[in-house]
Amino acid sequence: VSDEYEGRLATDGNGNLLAQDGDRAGEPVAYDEDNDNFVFIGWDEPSHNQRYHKQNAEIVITQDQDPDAPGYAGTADDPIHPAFFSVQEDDPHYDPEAENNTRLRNLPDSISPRVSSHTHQHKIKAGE
Amino acid sequence: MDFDVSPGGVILPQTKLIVPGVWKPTRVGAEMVWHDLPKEAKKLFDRFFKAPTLKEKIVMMAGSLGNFSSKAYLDMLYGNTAATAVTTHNLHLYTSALDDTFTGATAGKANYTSYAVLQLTNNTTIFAAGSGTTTYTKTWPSDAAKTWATSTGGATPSITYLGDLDGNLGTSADHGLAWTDVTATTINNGDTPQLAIGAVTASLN
Repeated sequence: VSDEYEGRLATDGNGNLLAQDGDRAGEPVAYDEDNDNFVFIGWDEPSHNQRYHKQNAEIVITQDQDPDAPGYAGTADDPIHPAFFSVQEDDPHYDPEAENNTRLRNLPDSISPRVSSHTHQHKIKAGE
Repeated sequence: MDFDVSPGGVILPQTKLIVPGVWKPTRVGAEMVWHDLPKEAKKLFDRFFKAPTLKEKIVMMAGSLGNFSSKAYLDMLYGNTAATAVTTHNLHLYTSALDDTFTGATAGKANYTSYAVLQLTNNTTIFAAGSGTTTYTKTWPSDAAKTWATSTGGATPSITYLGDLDGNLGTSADHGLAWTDVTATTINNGDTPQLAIGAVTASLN
């Protein structure tokens, strides 16, 4: 029985990376940098995040009400976070002809599951 | 106008007590007597006039409910169509803009090595009861900070949006529940994206 896992991934918010497909869905996995793949690990072993964590990167929601609170976007005339007020021209979903200047690109269902939250996402080259 | 009838058969206009509400100073009224007010009273009036309204106190976030959520709520209100609560929220990080039409197939999700969707069980531990009447506000995660998977290399995406989906198939079958933009944050090798306690505020007027 191989301990390697291939398929969709999820995290539980507490540092555990979890398999999403197959008979062992819900079990913890971790990245194996020597073999560039993912392997099942025990619940008593160091989690994926414990093995690789160096520092946190805070995800901060933008807002325009409290200059002293995190994520203050500034004003439309003097923006700190311009994307709060409008989609920016360098955004991949920017379209000046579309409503709110936004036109989402959607991937075919045959491809999109492997593009993100998947063990093979980093092996897909741009344009594939 | 309502009427009462006296024991002698006389029709009398019904008297009603006029109950005044809480007295509130107006700016004009205060200005008329401003020079006669003691210093402490001026301070009190100043605080009253400059106090923000409840709505102004609430930190409003950028973002919106997805079309799927808007339809579910309106069908529940008008038509008695029960809205089924999701069992798990699936939070994705995006490098491109979202709008109300997004689904699990929308391009732009993070794809650094080891990236995975953050799944939060939909309960009142993580999504505790909110507060407010005129504007009802919920702030989450309520119990602890929540982390995505630590990057082990590959792409170094600049995260600009956060999207909440009802599934993790990774296809158009996953419905967009809500989305918001976030301050641009680059994820490098060894970084663990994290939502601090109370990092997200959702409100409805």
